[in-house]
Amino acid sequence: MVGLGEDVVMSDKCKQVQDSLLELAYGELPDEEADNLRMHAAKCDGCREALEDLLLTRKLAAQLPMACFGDDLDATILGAAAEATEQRLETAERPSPRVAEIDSKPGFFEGLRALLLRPAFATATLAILVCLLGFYVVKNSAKDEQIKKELLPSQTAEPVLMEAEEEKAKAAPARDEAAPELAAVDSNREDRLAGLGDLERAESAGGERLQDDRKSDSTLASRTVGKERRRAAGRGVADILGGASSAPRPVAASKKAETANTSTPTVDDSIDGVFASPPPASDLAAGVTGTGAGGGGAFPAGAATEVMADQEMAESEEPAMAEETMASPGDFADPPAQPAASGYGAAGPTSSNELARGIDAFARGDCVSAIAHFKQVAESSASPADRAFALHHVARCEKRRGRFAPAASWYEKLLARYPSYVRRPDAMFESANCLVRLGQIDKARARLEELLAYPAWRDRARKELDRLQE
Amino acid sequence: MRRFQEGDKDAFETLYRRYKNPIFSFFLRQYTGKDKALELTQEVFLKVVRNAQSFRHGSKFATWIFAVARNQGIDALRRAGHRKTTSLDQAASENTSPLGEKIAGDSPSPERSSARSRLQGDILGAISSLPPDQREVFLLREYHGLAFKDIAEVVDAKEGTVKSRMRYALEALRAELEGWSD
Repeated sequence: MVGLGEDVVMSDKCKQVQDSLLELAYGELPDEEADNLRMHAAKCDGCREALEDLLLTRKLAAQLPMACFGDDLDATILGAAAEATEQRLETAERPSPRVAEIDSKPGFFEGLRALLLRPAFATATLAILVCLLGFYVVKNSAKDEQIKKELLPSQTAEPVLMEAEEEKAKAAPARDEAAPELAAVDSNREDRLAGLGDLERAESAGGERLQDDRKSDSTLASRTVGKERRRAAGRGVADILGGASSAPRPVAASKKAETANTSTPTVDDSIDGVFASPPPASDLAAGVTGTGAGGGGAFPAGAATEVMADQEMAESEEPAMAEETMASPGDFADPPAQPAASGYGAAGPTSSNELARGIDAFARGDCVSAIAHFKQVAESSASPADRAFALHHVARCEKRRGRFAPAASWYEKLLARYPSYVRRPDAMFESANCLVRLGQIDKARARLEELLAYPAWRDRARKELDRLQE
Repeated sequence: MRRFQEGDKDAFETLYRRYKNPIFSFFLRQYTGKDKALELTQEVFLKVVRNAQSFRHGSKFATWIFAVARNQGIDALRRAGHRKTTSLDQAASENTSPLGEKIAGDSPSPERSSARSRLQGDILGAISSLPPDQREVFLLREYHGLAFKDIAEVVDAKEGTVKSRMRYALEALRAELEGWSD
């Protein structure tokens, strides 16, 4: 290998092209440069020998084959990867309402605060402020000095001042004549300034209102989801999974009132009642699905409701993850362009607004409104994850209202269109519940058998299958 | 990789089959013996699965996975607390004979495969004798096809530095394999 300091003569210029020779030997030079270098190498002994050495070494090194990993560990690695992927998908971030988007991103003031808290930055800012203040003070004091000098009478300046005063006196009438016009101009200017101030105040008030709206939305949404979670922890099965009455409940309803609202149904929502036999038709007509009977529901009240509530809580807190689920072919048509701003905030009724509204309505039990909002999202959102989420909650709302046939249909759509939806197992379990309610035991059984493929749901699905068997 | 990030498990299998041998080779020749190389290769792919979302498509996947592998190897070395030494009796790969045979017999075997084996043994020995920073650059360029600018990203050095290391590595190998150039 010809390198620096060896016997073969190589010019200084050639020493500089050593890197280029390397690139040429590995095919990394552009064609034109490569041709030029080859032409040079043909004439320059040093470079030609260097290039030949490089190529020979490469040729020898190529005799070494790649080491073979073998197939013994393939099953282990691929199996672990499959499981980890599933777990990742199941626990992956949910599509979130706007509140989580807003809360998760640091605002301008938070970012500024974080920056100002850094000692070095704070010191530098303080120093700059002190300098500016000092400069301002000095400048003003210099100006004051100058003004004072101008105003103080001096003996030598007296005649000049006297003349100036006489001139002023002469100019006074003219100025007085112009005074009304000047006054008019001044008052116009004041009016304009006042109007501008009003406009600015109005704009800032509007902006504040927008921010207030957003804050109140986020506060309301987080509050209502928090309330939902507390309710879930305290109540039985049906209130979360479909036992609530269809009438909207006030957010601040007490636990007693909630119990009173759900005490009217007649169906037995015990474990046998839910999965073994569908409820009486009268209850379906009434749209009421019954209270949770302690911990004996087909959906183990504590576990299921906590899981569902936890997941809902997680949904509200974690930032949205776009493109989380794959939309299947034959999905909705391309979502229409976002509608123009009209009413709700400056951004208008965008999909994320609709999603937030849907979640608010769902949390307070207003299924009718929630369905309308979620359908809007399902039709117009550009995010497959949001569309899947919305479809899921349309199904859940219908189920809550006791409309099991439409609910089952929505679940089918969701499961068919979004095979990678992160809450697919939840949807499958809920769908099985609906199918049992509709008396479609075989379909419910098939659904539960599919659910066995999900490790986290295996035990629950097996338990329900055993109950169906009985 | 994009498909895998979106939840396509088959996409991971494709990546795995494409890179398992290169990653294993890299570990074997750069850092350690076969058993440890197998273990490290497994860890790299599990890391790819766990951290798939952190791959931002700003660089090539090959660059990323080799950077992961390199870091894994360095961590393993740190934990083990020793440098790679090549035992004369250690078979560096399944296809080569132990290096000890190079010294055991002076006269070349009449069989071409035996000569090939000896050449491969010499090459492995020459590679093993390179300093680690030159060796990793040489392996990544020569056997894994990474461009010099990508290698610079993997080893966290300037491109000029990478090329210098490569030149020195090739010089050293040329000197070690002098006898095979005839």
